[in-house]
Amino acid sequence: MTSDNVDPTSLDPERLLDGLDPSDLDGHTIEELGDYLDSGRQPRNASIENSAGSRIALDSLARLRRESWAMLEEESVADPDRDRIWMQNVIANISRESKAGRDIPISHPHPATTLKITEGSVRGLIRAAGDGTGGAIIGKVALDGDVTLPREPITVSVTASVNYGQNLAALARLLREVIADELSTHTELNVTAIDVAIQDVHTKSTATTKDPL
Amino acid sequence: MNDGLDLSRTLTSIVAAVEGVGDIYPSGSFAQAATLTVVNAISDEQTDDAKVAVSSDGSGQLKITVTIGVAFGHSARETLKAVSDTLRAYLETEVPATQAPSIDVKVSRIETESSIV
Repeated sequence: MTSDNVDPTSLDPERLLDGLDPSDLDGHTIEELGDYLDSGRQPRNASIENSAGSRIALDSLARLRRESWAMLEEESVADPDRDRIWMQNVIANISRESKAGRDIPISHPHPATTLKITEGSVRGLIRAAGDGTGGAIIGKVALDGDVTLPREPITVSVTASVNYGQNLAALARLLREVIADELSTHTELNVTAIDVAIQDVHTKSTATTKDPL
Repeated sequence: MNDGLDLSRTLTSIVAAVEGVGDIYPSGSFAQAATLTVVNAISDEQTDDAKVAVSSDGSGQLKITVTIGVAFGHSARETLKAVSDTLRAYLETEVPATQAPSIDVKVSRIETESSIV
């Protein structure tokens, strides 16, 4: 298939979602959530609305479509296979990362009080912070280390795809800053490092390589 | 009338009023929540407003379990503390017991500027 006859529907998220595990999202599939988003969340589905994991995934899908899709679609005309794979990975990661995961403790002086934040909500927070910088789409988020233990050293690892033409060092620095700020606001994690890997640069120049001279 | 259900409704209402709480999710695993929904549908009890889990262990200690979403602009850490302190203040006044109730509060979603609400 050439850049001139790419099926525009081939990049729809619903067409990229085969094989994801419904158990990640309290019994719902990403495909189902995509349809629900398309319907404007009407009629109201109580099972989805009462599932925090599904709500986190809805947030991420909506943001991916609203803020990032255009950037990917533009390049996908030139290199559809590469970006289809990349988008499949992002959506698969959203599905996996939205499930609750481990419990991250928050301290409280009363011995009969237990406070915690799910790992899934923190991963969602990190993804939103990174996507919110404007020039990046977060690919994968991981918290490395035993987050269930207070004061345990934790490393945050994120991968990102960025627009062409940006200062990558400055963007990586900005990503670290916004992620550190969010984690400091919401958690008591002892974050010792935030590793940012820029895995892809989306560029119009890819398209020009196929254009006739 | 179910005392546990009534207390759950009251506590759900109290939690919903705490600053920073954006959502309250049914506590327990998805399977437990689904089962609870079925049981309550059969018994004609409306439980949409009873999302806080109330139970007691063998010694009679009351156990309260709450799962919340935190609204944009609020700290999850601070909201957790506010919810647990508000619940404890209410329970110690209104539901006297020989043992302090066990209160377990979890944040399972943190809204951001781009969240859909």
